[in-house]
Amino acid sequence: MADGTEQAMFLDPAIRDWVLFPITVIMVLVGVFRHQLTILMTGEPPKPEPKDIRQGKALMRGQILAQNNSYIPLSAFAERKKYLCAAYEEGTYLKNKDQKDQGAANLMADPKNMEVMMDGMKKQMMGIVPQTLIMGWIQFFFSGFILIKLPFPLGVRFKQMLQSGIMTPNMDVRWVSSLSWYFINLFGLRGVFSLILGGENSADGTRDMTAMSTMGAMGQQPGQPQDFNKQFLSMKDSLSIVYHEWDLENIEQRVLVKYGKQARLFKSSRK
Amino acid sequence: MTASNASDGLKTVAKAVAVVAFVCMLHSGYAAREFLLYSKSIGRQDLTLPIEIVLECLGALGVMIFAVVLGVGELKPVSYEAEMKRYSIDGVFSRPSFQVYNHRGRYLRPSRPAEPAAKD
Amino acid sequence: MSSLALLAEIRQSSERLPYEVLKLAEPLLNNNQLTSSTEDAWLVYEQVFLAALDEGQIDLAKSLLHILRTRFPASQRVKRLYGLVNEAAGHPDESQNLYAEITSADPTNVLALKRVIALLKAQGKLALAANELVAYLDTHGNDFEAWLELSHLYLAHHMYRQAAFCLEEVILQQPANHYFHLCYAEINYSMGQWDIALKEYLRVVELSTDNVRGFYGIKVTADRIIEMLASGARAGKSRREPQALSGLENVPQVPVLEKLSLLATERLVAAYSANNAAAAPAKALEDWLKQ
Repeated sequence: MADGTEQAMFLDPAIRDWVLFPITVIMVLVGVFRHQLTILMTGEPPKPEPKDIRQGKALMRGQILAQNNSYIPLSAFAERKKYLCAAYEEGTYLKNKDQKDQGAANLMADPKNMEVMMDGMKKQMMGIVPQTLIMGWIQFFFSGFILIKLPFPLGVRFKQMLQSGIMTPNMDVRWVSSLSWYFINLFGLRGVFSLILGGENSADGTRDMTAMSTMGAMGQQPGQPQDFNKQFLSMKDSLSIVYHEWDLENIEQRVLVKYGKQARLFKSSRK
Repeated sequence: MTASNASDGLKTVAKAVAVVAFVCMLHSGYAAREFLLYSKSIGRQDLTLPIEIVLECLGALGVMIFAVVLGVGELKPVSYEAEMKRYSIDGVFSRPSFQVYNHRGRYLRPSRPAEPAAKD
Repeated sequence: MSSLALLAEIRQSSERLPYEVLKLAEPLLNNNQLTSSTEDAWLVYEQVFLAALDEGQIDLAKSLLHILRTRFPASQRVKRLYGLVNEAAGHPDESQNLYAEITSADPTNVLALKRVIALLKAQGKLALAANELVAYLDTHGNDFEAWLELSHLYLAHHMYRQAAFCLEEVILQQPANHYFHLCYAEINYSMGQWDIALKEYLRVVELSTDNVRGFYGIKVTADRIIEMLASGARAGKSRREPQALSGLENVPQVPVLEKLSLLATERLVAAYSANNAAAAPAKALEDWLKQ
C-alpha cells in the first residue's frame, strides 16, 4: 500500500524498450498471425449430408417432444412417443443404419469424421504451441524481471497475480513481473484483437485454455463426432419416462378466472 | 409531432441529468478518497466518512438510475401477448417458401388499382 | 416512418402485400436511392422482386434480378429466383430443371427443395406435393413452415386427422402462438372432436385477450356440446348411444359450459360495440348470439 514509505526503486528504461514493449508487440503479432493461419487452414466447413441433417433433426424432435409435451393432447403425445421410441430403438434415423451395433469403433473408419477430428486437433495445436513457446521464451530470458509499475495502489491479494515468478514477500504490489505481464497480455489482448481483427477472430489464446480444461472433464475432444445411436437410446429412455399432463386440462377455470367470472382457480373439473 | 418533440426534449434533458449525476458520483468517490488520505495524514484511522459524501453518492445514484431509465427511449411491453400483437394471422400462415406465382395477380391490377393484392 | 422501415416491417411480418411493397419501393427505385450502402438493400431488392412477380410485372422483376445477379454471381439463392421468374412467366418445366440442378449440386438446399414442392402445388398436383413434402419432413423435421404447408395440403383434401397431426407438430415447436391453437381448434371442430376443440379455443382466448375468432369458436362449440349432452341424456334413458357421445369424453360440466357460452356472448357483444361504426352488424350478431 502507498503508506507514505514509498519504495525507492528505479527501472532501467532499457527494460521498457527491450522487454516490456517487445513482449506486448510479439504477443499481438502472434495473435494476428494465428488468426490468419486459422483462416488459411480451415477453409470451407464440410457440408453435412442430408442423412446427417436427418439424424440431428430426429434427435431434436425427441427433445422438443419431451420438452413441450404438455401442450398437445394425450393421444397425440402417446402416438408420437410410441413412434419415436420405436424409431430410436430400431435406428430408423441413423445415418449408417446397418452398422448401428458396431458402436464407436466405426467412427474412426468414416474418413469425414477423421477429417473433422484432425481439423480440431490442428486448431488446438495452433493455439497451444505459440503460447507455450512465448511462455518458455519469457521464462528463459526474463525470469525475475520487473517490467512496470502500475500508477495506482492495489491490495496485497493482487500479489499472486502481479508478481508470479519472483519471490519477494515485501515488495509493493504495484510492481509487475515479466511472467505476470505475459498473463495480463494473454487475457487482456482479447479486446485489442476484436478491435483490429473483428469480433469473430481466432487470435485469442484463452479460448484454447478453456477448451483444454473442459476437454479433460468431458473425456472427449471438441469437434469429435458423437455416437448418435447412443444418443438416440438415451433420448428414448428419457422420452419413455415423461409423465404427460395436458396443459389445457383446467383451461376452462383459467379462462373464467382471466375474464373475471370466477374468483379462484380450482382443480380441473372432470365430467 | 409535438408529442414526439416533447418526448425527444425530455430524453435529452434526462440524458443531461444522468451525465450530471454520474459526475456527482465520481466527485463523491474522489471526496471519499481525499478524506481517507486526510484522515491518514492526521494519524486517525477511526474517522467515519462524513454523511454528506455518503448522501451525495447515494442521491446521485438514485437520480442517475431514474434519468437513465427515462432517457433510454421507448420501453416495450414485456408480455408475450403484446409481442404476438405484432404478427397478423396472414403473416403467420403465409409460408413464403411455398408461395406459388402462377396466380391471377397479373390480371387484377390494371383495372382495379386500389384493391389490396391477390392472395391465395 | 420511412418507406425503407415500412418495407422492413412487411418483410419481417412475412405478409404477402405485393401492391403495397411496389408502391413503397417505386420512388426508391426511380430515384436510385437503393445503393449498396443502404442497409438491407439486397433484401429489399429481393422483396420488391417477389412483389413484382406477384403483380405480374415480369420485366421489372427481370431488371431487379439482373442487379442481384451482378452483385452475387455465384449465389444459389439468386439462382433460385430465376426459377421463380420462370414459374410466374408460365414455364414450370424450366424452373423444375433449374431446381433439380441446384438440389443435385447441394442436396441440403432447403429453399430449392421447398420450391420443388411448391411447383408441384402450382401445377395442381396436390397429392404428389403432399408426398414430396412428407419425404422432405422426414429429413427436416423441425421446419414448422413445411408442417404448416402440409396441414393445408391435407385440409384441401379434407384429411382432417392428418392435418391435425401436422398442427400438433407446429404447436410442439411454438406452443405459445395462439394462431396455431386456433387452427388446431378449428380442425378438431371439423373432425367432431368437440372436447379438444373447446379446450383449444379456450387456449386461444387465454393467450390472446378478446380474440374474436376464438370466442366465436367457444360459443359455437360450447352450445353444441350442451345440446348434444342434453340429447344424449334423453336418448340414454331409452338406449345407450355411444356413437353420439364420441368426442365428448373430456368436456367440463354443463354449468361450466353455460358459463363459458355466456362469457363468449358477453365478450363478443363488447368487442363489437366498442367500435360502434358497425352498429347494424352488431345488432344482428347480438340477435344471433342470444337466440
